[in-house]
Amino acid sequence: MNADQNNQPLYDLSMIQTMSGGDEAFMGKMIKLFIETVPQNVKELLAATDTENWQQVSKLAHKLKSTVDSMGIKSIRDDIRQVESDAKENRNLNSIPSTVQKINSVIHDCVEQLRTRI
Amino acid sequence: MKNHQSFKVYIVEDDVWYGSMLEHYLSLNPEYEVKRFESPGEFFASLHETPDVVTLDYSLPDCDGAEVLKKIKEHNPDIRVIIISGQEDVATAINLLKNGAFDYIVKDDDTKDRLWNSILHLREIRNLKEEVEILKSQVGRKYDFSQMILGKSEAIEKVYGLIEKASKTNITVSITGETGSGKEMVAKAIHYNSDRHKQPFVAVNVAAIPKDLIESELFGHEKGAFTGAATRRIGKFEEADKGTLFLDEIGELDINLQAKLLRVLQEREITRIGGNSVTPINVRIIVATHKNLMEEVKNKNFREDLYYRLIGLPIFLPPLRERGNDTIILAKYFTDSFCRENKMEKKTISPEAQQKLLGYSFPGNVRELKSVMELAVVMSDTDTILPEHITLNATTSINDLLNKETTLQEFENQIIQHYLDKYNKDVLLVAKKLDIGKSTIYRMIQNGELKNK
Repeated sequence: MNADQNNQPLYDLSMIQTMSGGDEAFMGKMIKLFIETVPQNVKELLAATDTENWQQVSKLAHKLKSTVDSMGIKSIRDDIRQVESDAKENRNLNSIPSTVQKINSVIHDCVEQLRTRI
Repeated sequence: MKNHQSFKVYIVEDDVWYGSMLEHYLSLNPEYEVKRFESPGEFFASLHETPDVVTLDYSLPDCDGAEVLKKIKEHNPDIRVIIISGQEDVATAINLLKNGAFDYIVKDDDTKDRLWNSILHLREIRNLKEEVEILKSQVGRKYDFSQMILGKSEAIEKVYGLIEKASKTNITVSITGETGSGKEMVAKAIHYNSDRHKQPFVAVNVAAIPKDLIESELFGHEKGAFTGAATRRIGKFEEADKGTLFLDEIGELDINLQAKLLRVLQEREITRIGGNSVTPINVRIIVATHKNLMEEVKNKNFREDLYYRLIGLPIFLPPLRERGNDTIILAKYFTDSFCRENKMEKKTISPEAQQKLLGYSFPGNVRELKSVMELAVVMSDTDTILPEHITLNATTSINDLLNKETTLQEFENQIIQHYLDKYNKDVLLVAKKLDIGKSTIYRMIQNGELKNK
């Protein structure tokens, strides 16, 4: 996935574009907000995964879900949902850490791409 | 007073990013005043500002959306709540809607459009509700009883006091008074000044409905309950739910139905004719009659148990002739409002005309006075109402008679003449009624002092 980093954007801003009503300043603000808050959320998700606090994992994934969807980060769309429901129901717990790692890495790359945009 | 233009939208969303996006999106409509809260605690601190709509994230950190919804609804059931959730669980959604959520929107690509529409829809509802409120308050003002029931006499002041007492509780009220004395006005004044004023006021004139129909009129019927019952129909009791049911001329209620009414009042539930299920009712009862109900009870025309059920707070409306100068106050009021309604110049009532009104007994009470004054306005060509414009009922009253200064002999003649007219010139009967000799009457007729034609 790192191969894509500098070519294809991992995100799709069309949704927040329509929501902002074409307001560029607002778009910039939302991107900045994404860069400021989302990595922190992912960090929390990683920590909860390490301590196997699955309820917390589910909640954090749930929270990330809407942001990830709105930013059009399609490559982890299903992964987030997988983590949320598996952690909630204590299913496939073995596979959660690797999926969370993938989410972390995509978000990280995405943030890097977005930094260049503003 | 709320500004009609500003519509407060509060967003409760712990995800800063998502919340900011919604905030911005909704702010695109300049009429919305949007505020964003990251935690329920923060939001509850601002709940007193009465937002029009709250968009609520279902999964919040400290407590879940269902709980927040409950608290909002407890605080003020008029605040609309739209739940926005990442959850896609139908059961949860249904539960939230059942508990008073206005809408349930899942976070996905369509969220913004659905939210936008939902809020637009809500505004429409709010505007309609506001309009209804305004109209209701106008109606309420119309029934401000100090304007509805005019008068300064001691007798009517006493009635004001009772209306005020009756408005504060749900006690059954029984109003007695002669025809036209304003029994329905009193009932409305009580209703529109009570806690129930936003709920319906339903009036039923028991005497005006055929005996066979009154039961279905009051209690409703199921489809096919009897010949002609083509559809299900709810009765007046159900129509007046949470409001007031005014039963006028209760003394005319059929004795069989009296038993049924008593049962309804005791059990506080009704069964539609032909139906099996019982419907609980919450209705304030006001009854009115021009009859002396106690007398009716003695004559076995009215059930004693029902009488005691209905008597509640008795309000006696004095007849107009016992209200002294109220007659003039009312006469002026009716004159003014009739002139206003018909876009005529204001008219005054001359002192002689006032005297004429005060001398009359008004058997039809306020209702009669109203039509007398309306006719007087029409008859008068100037800005003054004179005695000749006032047409009173042909049967001369005793007051009318006494106001005239004349000899005792003339009074005597008039009284006997009145009786002769009343009893179809039956001299024998009149002699008996007045306890005078029949020959006296015959002599007076022969002398031409009385007319026997």
